[in-house]
Amino acid sequence: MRIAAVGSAFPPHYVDQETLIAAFREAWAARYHNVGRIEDLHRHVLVGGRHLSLPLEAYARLEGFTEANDAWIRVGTDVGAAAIEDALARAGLGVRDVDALWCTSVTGVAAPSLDARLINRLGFRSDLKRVPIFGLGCVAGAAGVARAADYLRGHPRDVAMLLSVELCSLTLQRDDLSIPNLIASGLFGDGAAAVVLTGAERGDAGPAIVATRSAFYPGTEEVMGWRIGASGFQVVLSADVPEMVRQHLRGDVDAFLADHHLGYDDIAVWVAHPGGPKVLQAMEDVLPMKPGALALTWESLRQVGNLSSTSVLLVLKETLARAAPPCGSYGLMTAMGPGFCSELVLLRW
Amino acid sequence: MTDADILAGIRDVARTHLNVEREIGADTVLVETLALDSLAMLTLVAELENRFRVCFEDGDEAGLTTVGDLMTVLRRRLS
Repeated sequence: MRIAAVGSAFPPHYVDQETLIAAFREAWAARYHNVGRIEDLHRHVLVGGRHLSLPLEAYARLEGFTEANDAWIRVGTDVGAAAIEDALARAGLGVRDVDALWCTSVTGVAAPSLDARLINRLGFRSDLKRVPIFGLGCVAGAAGVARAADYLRGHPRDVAMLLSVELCSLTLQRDDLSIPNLIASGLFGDGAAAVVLTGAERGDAGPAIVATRSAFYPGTEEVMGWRIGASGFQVVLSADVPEMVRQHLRGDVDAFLADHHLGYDDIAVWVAHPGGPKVLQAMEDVLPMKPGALALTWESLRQVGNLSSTSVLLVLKETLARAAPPCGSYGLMTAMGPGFCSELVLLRW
Repeated sequence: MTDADILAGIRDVARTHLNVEREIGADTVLVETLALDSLAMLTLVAELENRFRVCFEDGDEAGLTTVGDLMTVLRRRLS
């Protein structure tokens, strides 16, 4: 299996972080005596700006979960379609070449799911196999690639796609001014990415998917996720996310690489999900990577924030846009998400 | 404001915003005894700033180990 191309699309409303801080300040000042502390929370996530699904002033008019989710369906279909078209154009394929589509999001729900709406919008074949995913959160970019690769292992002449649409701004809980929600509202942004994967017998170009590894950490349900209620998705975020990296990721990567007779020196390219500064710092602390190995990940965080499952695919897209490493080089895609869990994808150029 | 007032305020903030039900004294250790992680510590400090209408300054949070340390900072910022 190979990754033939990655495409992306963003809603048109890009807002820099200081403008967002200014927009939030009045509400924060009504709740917190030391509003500077809250402003610093939004600066310390090292995000320069975010794409938003709606014009900034429109968020105050969103009334409840129904309106926010309707916007998610409308904008999600738009950016999802654009990301798919971008990915297929880069792969030199058409929409009717696609045999299977995984579609992941954790920022809205729809039935029929987004992929069904995209069949109608883009004209996919009516025998397209569809697999909508909800609940994997940030890990779903890597896990979606892994599951699509599993499919292609059994269908080596097929073309599979993964679409990730995450419109995090539409989950904003304006009335929740708790510290975890304030951190989330400073970190997460909106966008979509699509990956074209092709079976081994097609002989396409692009890095091969050598192997994948899922790892679940029992008893960690409260580390991260949503509490879902009448107002929509309320973030559950504990300080243990970086701790998950420190406790588990090194062992998982060690074992995965060892199973393929590889060491850290063999990994030329790291494609890591930009969870946030503390998560990336923890990765750099525990994984013996070469200096600057996560440069593209840090840059993605700075440019557009954390887009949940979309983010690791944006880093993958930037990786493919750079000069390819020498033939035979290995890369490792990593992401972690609610469960708590991780997914590793071993790539070879 | 007396030390008893400050301690009562810390107890109230911990109970209201962090669901801390156990008895708190000056020698209570914040991280181990109250099981406060970094987000909970941030919540505690921000809510204490609200309660006492003060702003912690650079360095105030660096050495916070016990409730007594918190009382010392609050006493300083209230003076």
